[in-house]
Amino acid sequence: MLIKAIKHFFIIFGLLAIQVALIPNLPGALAKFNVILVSLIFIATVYRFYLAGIYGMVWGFVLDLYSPLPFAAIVVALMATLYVAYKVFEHLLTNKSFYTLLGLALISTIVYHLLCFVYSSVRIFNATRDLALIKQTAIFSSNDLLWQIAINLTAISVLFLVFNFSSRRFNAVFVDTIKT
Amino acid sequence: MLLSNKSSKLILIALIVICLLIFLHVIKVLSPLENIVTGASKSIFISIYRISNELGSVYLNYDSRQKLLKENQELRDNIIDLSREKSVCSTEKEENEFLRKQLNFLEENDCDYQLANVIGKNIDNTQNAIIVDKGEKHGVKLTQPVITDKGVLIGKIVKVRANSSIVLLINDDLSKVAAKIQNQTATGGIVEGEYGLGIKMKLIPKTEKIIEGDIVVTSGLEKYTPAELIIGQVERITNEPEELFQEASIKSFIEFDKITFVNIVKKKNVD
Repeated sequence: MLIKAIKHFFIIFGLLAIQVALIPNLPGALAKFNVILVSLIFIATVYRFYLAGIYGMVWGFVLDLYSPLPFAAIVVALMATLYVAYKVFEHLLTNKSFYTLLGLALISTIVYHLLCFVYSSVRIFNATRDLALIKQTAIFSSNDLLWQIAINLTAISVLFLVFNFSSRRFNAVFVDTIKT
Repeated sequence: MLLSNKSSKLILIALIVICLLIFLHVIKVLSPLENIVTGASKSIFISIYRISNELGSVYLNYDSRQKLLKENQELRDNIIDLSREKSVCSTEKEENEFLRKQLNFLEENDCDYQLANVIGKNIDNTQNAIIVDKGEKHGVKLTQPVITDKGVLIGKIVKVRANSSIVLLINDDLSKVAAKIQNQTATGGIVEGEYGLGIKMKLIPKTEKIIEGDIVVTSGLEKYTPAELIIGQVERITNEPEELFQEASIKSFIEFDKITFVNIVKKKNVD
């Protein structure tokens, strides 16, 4: 029990340290990598959504302390993203496979990015009442989104490869369906 | 059906927990916990931030490129020193110091300063902001300006906690600084950020004569921001016939990605 608690503690704060202090300084597009979101989706798909929910609450709370956005903005964004991922998993991508992982990562990245863009737009509009500025921000934001999708999908693929060697939690889909 | 009920319960619990978190945060019951979390994580974040800064530098670390960067940095330092010297001469100050250290610069402007480490930045990709390890306990207040060790303005404090603060960089869309150009008429304007990519001085009257290369400094019109803090240099001037004002693109002397230490300026005799 204690070992499990310590394991959870290290995962939570290790990834937080990486997200807050390490990733923003990485060169180029790597700085756009959202390790928290990728981890959340991975945990939700591989293990349980409710476990991802707990992780998301803790991560969101601590990230809110280090964010210029109003308190609870990131918690709400993470939980909303997780909810959308859950609904997609429940009704569309119903098996635990590599494609499910990719699909959920893609959808989650888009949803989370959209929510952050909404926060940003509301703040800009509140301060400047300038719709043209929001339009320009949207254009820049869409470029960021493409990079984020590319990096998050790459990261989750790497996670899958590493995990798949040691676990049978993923179903074989589109692989060797011919019985011999 | 059973799964649906269970999932609905979990979603309801999550909503209740979020609302409770917000409520407890607003009535400041969560403040001790927040302070413990930020205080405990600060030292780890400082170390990791420095490591990642090094990693970022390693990416560029080819021998010839490193030499070029070093030479570039020396030239930038020279430009900043020369600009400050020009600033001093332009405002007709009597004292004849050419190589000012940060302490002397702030003392002359009747200020204290608080040295702070940068421990993180831009975690939500919505704003260009950095996180520093000094907060309310160290006398940090909202809208206090933040400068580098060379005296160049990089942003203002937008959020203060007990042990940490968030600095909005001047190249962010929401950043606004009252500024003036160091020319004969001390042309005033507002310096605003542009999508995290650059800074622009706006609301410059068309009758004012400005030239490329002019130094832009703070005007001192803001409560916590002293005058003569260097912002940058005029790079390009935009003067459209149909516009009421002209604009100037400002080139900052610092690279916002490479900031590890900052000074928070505390103006004396301000409540």
